[in-house]
Amino acid sequence: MKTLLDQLDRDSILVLYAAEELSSDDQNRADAMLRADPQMRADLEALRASMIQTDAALQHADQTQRLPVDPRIMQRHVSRMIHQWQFTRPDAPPTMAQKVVGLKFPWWSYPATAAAAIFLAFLVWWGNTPMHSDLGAVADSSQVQQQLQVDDQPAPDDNQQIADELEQSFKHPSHEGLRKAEGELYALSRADEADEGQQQELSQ
Amino acid sequence: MSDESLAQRLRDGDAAAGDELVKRYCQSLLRYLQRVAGSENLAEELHQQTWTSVLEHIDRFDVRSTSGGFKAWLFRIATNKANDYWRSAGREKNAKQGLKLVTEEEAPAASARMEATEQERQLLAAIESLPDNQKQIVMLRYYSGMKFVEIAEMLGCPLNTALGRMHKAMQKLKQIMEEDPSQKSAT
Repeated sequence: MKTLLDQLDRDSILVLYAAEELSSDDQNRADAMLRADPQMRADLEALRASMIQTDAALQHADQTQRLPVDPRIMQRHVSRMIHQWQFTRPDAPPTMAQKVVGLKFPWWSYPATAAAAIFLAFLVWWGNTPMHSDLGAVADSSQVQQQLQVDDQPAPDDNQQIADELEQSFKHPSHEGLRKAEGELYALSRADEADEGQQQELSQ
Repeated sequence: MSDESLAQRLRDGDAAAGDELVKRYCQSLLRYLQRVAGSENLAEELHQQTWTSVLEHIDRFDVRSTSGGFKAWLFRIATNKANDYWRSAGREKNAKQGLKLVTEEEAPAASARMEATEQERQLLAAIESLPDNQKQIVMLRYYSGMKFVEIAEMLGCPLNTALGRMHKAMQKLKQIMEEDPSQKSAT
């Protein structure tokens, strides 16, 4: 597989090697090349020396030569420029300060909440008004209440019917369920009597 | 916080993030422009133009498509501003003459300077005399701290070309230093 080293000429390899910007694989390959080529090693050392000297000279020049303008003044100047730009740019999104004092919730939540409040108020109002359209013929609520109370009580005909049914059940004991229950009751009473007799014999 | 996060916050309207970016790069950018432009006034002007351009185009800054991140983007703008200046003003000749690290009339006051060795002064003069494209690579590497791959991409040239320029610049500096009699006497 081709690597970066394959795309570079000898001088470029030396620069990247001296700058320590080769990958580990390429570094190993470059090491092998340097071991095999003394001239390349000498060129690398010369290049390194030049790079170090250049960096040192620039570093010293920076320490001894003033900047065109005091960096702090320049920073303040650019900061002012940024603040001015922030408020004047046409497509400016809201600033951090504007975001804090602005809408707390999404804009659509406000009309939605207002609509919900109106609907709720309507429901309350509607619930407190007299029945009108649905009950139609019933004009007065007291009449409706009386009617409901009457509906809850069984009609006289119903009472009579229940009484008749009870009477029939007593008159006609042939009903299977009753007969069976009577049989069971009889059996239980007999069993109790037998137990009592045995206990008396034991006590004597 | 990374430069890219700050750039994102600046884009969203956070001026404090912009202040932090300026604080990080104001000095190195100014130095770079001072070295490349060779004029203190011009460096200051280009510095302002660079930040103005950053603000104008911050919406278009995309860290995914910008190798080297915000720093590379910032130095690219600065380099373009410097190149544009010389091109638009038709001052190539003047630039070549005026591209001095510090010109005589703009040199800092003696009281503000520490004593540089003769060898360093010679080396700075040698750097000054480098062709613009070679000097640009040397300065970008030193002041931006970018890798050569990023510098090549930033300048829009093949990596071999950028590295070749650096190699030639170093060879030339070595040659000048070896030829210089004062350097020999210093050693």
